[in-house]
Amino acid sequence: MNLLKIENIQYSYGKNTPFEKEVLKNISLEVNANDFIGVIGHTGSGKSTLIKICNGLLKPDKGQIFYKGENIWKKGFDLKHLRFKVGVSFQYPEHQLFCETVKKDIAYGLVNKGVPEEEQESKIRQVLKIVGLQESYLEKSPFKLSGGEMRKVALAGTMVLEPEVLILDEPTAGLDPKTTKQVYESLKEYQAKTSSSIIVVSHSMEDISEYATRLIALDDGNILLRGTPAQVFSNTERLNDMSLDVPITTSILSMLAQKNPSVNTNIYRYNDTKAEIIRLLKDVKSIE
Amino acid sequence: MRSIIQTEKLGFHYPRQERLIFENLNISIKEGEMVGILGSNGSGKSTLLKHFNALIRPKKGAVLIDEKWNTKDPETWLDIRQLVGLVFQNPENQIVSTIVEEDIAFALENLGLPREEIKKRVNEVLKIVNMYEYRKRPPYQLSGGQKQRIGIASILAMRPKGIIFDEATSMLDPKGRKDILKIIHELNQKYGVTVLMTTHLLDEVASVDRIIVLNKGRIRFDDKPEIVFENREELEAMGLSIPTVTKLALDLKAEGYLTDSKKLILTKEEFVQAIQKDIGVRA
Ligand SMILES: Nc1ncnc2c1ncn2[C@@H]1O[C@H](COP(=O)(O)OP(=O)(O)O)[C@@H](O)[C@H]1O
Ligand SMILES: Nc1ncnc2c1ncn2[C@@H]1O[C@H](COP(=O)(O)OP(=O)(O)O)[C@@H](O)[C@H]1O
Ligand SMILES: [Mg+2]
Ligand SMILES: [Mg+2]
Repeated sequence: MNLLKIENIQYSYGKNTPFEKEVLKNISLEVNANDFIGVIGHTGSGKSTLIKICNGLLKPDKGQIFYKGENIWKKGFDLKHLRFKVGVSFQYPEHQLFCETVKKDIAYGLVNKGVPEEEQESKIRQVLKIVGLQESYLEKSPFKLSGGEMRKVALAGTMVLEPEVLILDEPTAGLDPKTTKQVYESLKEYQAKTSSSIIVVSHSMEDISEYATRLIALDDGNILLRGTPAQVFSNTERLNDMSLDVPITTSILSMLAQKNPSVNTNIYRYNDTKAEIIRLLKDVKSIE
Repeated sequence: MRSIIQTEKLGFHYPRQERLIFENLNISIKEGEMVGILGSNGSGKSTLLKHFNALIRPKKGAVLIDEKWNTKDPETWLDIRQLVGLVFQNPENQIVSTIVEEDIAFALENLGLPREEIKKRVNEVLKIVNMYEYRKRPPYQLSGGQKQRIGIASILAMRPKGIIFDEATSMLDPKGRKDILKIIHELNQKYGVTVLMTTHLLDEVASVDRIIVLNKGRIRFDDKPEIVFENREELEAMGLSIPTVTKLALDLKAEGYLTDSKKLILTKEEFVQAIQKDIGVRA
């Protein structure tokens, strides 16, 4: 059964004001255990709004959302409980952090969730490792950190709750390459352990193609493309029209294919790209 | 050549920190250069860059702007901030007015420039960043990349000699990023603006003149990209990386391909050329 199901969602900001704006037009999406869904789309396409719909922070104007088959906007549904199960790390970490120390910030959700104090400690230490922050940070103020460090703290605060659906809005924007890799690897590890589903919004076609099993591409409140990365990234022109792009690996293969028609351009991961180029170079030898 | 930014034994720590974030930094940025600054999260890039338009002042050593202004002297701050502009990561935080052209005029009005001159400059800079058609729009209708272009235009209107881009592309979609990078290169090449930029996307700094790498409070590298990126293992150990094409070329070399290409490959075009050459050799 799917964990989360979204059906024909429509949402406008500024309802019944002159500024009313329809931001999600007709969105449907099913999220299953072990999914790793990448969400791509131009700025303003509605990605962050969709995320807020997913954990019940915004109520859609039309359409329905089910968590394990239960309509989350039905009377009596425990929305607070939902927010522990569908965890979101928001786009701007500085908006998510508000305690006087890093430790209190990460512990905040645990306290709310009623996790006993002795368990909190070990969970926090574990999650620090995952995001790559030293324990010396625990007593620092989150507001005196660099942008990348703040993001790590915000991520830790979401992951520590061990949600079944983990949603991350541009989690690695501003993170250095090593930490970016660390975050994605830890997501994969977390998923392998828990069979949770993961949804990541990202502008990095490279990262998303390396890790996602399915992609959706939003454009002005509609999902215009969806499928496996191979399917989505086979639409270079449409992606460009949507202010998006293919990963650099795919674009290198396309350039090679102009002179070498045998090159498969429907490849996007780094290792597969390398293998395809080696195949091309070996083929030349064998033809001879 | 005239150095627009110069640091002498620069050292800094925030209040109540015992250890210096960096120390003994000697950096010289020449007029017209395009320089990338790399470093892992928390390595001190933003702190360093804020020294360059006097938002932060040294705890040790000195920062000299345009060979004449010491940032320790508060009387120089206004001049320095006109000479060196700073563009941040989040475009939302740089826009104040409700109409695009007013936003750009705003800073100029504060300078007390005549109305005609303001109008002329506003139109000029909006054209440079390709946003002239949007001059009557409210900023909230713009995409992230467009907002970032307005932020750049506001700075350009001050006619700065240098602009610092602190992760200015990291929140943008692929098109927004491409547009901003194109403008950055154009400003440098066509208008001679000195450019300093930080980014975590190594592909963006493959074609700068010089890369400075900050690590553990020191300058570890200060050299051309093709020399800095030779140090793949060391860069990776400090949390950084090298451009994707460079990595791909090196990995292929390690497996016995591309043996003919001696120079480090930094662009897709160079990469494809090297592959075609390898194919030629093999055939
Ligand atoms: N609180 C809000 N009030 C009014 N409009 C908003 C609000 N939040 C977002 N918007 C608008 O809704 C659209 C979609 O925004 P968002 O979901 O943040 O897009 P994305 O995350 O894809 O960049 C944008 O045009 C944005 O300006
Ligand atoms: N306002 C501040 N007060 C105290 N410490 C700070 C402040 N801003 C940044 N820091 C610390 O200074 C170091 C350098 O930060 P920063 O210059 O933002 O790094 P970068 O831009 O390279 O990520 C980090 O360890 C960070 O925690
Ligand atoms: Mg968003
Ligand atoms: Mg920074």
